[in-house]
Amino acid sequence: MKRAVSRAVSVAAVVSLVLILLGLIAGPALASFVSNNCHANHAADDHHRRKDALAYAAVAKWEGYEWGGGCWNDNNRDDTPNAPDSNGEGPDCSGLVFKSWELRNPGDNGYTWYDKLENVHGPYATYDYHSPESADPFVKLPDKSRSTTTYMDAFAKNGHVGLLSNRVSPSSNTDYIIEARGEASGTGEWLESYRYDSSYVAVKRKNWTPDCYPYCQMEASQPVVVTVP
Amino acid sequence: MFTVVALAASCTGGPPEGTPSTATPGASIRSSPQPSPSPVVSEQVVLTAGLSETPAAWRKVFFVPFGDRPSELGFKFFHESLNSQPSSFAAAADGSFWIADRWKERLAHYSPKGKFLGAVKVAQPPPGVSIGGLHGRIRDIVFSRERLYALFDPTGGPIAQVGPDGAIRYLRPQFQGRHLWVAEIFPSDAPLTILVGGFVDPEQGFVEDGPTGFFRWDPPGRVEQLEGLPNRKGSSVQLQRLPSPSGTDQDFALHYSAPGQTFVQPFHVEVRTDRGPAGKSLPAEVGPGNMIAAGDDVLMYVMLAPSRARDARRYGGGRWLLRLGRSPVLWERLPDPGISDEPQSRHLALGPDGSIYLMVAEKGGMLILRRPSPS
Repeated sequence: MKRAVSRAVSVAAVVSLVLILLGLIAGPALASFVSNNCHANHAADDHHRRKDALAYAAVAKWEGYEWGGGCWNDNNRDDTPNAPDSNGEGPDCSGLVFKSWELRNPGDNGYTWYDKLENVHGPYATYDYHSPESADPFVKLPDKSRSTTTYMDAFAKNGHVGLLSNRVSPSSNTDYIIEARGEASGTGEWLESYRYDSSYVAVKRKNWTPDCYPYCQMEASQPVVVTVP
Repeated sequence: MFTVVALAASCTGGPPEGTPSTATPGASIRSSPQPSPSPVVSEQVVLTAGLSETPAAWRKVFFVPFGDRPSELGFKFFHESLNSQPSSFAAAADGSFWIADRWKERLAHYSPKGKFLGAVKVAQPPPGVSIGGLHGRIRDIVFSRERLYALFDPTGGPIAQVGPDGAIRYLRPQFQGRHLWVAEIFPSDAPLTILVGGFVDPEQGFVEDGPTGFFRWDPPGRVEQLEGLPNRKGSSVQLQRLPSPSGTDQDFALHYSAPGQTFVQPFHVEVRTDRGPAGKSLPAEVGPGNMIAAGDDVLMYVMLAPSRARDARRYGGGRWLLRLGRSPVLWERLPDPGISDEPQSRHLALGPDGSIYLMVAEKGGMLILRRPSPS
């Protein structure tokens, strides 16, 4: 009896394998970049500075892009190239902003740090960044001028969002933008003309911790040296 | 449908043209004479962009549809990211056109009337010239000394040199023994002109230190720093963004450097809801790019958008063509693209006979237009 069952199982296995190879029935779920590499790891944070966001976003540069994704490593290459919608490596544009800004759900302006290998996208799509509501932890800036925007603010349209870098563009019609640009390009830093494109608005995270933290008071109270002739 | 105004003084080292000023609502001269002797600062040109203005009528040269056939151009729409349409084009000395078909990783070649002539495969650059594992895609193509070059981004290069037989060489310019980060390349009759953003490390990418500005490069040879973008007469031009009282990008100065002399042409772009008297002035962000040295003139593709979100939503933005230099100022609205065109970095090209060409992204393909010559 055991032998008969074993034989039946073997035959079934061989038939299944042939059918799978022929593509006639669905095989078991294939391992993906996310299933192989990503895990939950996050913690509440008590502050978040622009320079922290820049450092976080910089790690995502040269990694891949995945629509709806949010998990990447730090090996400076796309581990799932030309594999869209495959639970592959990388954030999409709105997911990169969510994790870089340490955002939380609407109504909460606090900070949550996510490991780069946690596959989280957050609740905000590009539409939300382009047209924030009052409860969102980010706000539309009144204008896009250089005097209003600074690094780690975002330029957003309905369909794309990217973060303003601290690098100075050598040309007069571009800014350096850190962004998850798409399957065709991955995640990186490009020279873009979003400031001069009317479909983009400037957006700022609410409640940034000043970059001088935790030494702001010390800087403010530095003694002023007056030289008396 | 274009607006001209003669500059009161030449900007390129020659004597002023004798043409009297013919200021129009589109371009006028604001009186702000500067003391001589050096540099010689011309009167500020004020360029008015009316957002309700009708684009100039350019002539259709040909249209190439998006599709899978070899003669068609690559395009893909992505959710929550940018489209993938071609990024640049160039006009060859024989009147034919090359289009940077970045999604198909090739340079597609078309006759002056749009017949597909073939393509050169420009695969993603190999390790050694790429950064880490990121190979990049074609950002821009230009002709330099009748040789075609393709710049890859976002890795500040490399630059692919296309041989007469279609063979590709991937190169990175070096300066002081280090690789340069190339932000832009420019068409010219001379050795290749590049705009440098700093140094680049093959493993780490951009490095903070390093030179910026224009360089001349005769691949694979020597790299030499320049004062600006060279033009044909041994002088060069450089665009400078000036601080604006409102904090917006609306004030610029074009510096013309000739041997022993520098001329400065300031200009201000006034963006209005309408060019007529009812038009309201708007703070705006103005980005002149795609600089092309054309004899004693410089051509620029100017994108502009109202700075305030509510103005942008209400009035939209636009693109303009600007020509500054010895010729009368040319400032005219260009046709808007039919689809989002962020991946397109070059919009203007100069033909061998001096014709100005424009490539516009449309819903079903790319449209090449030619500016009618002024009568």
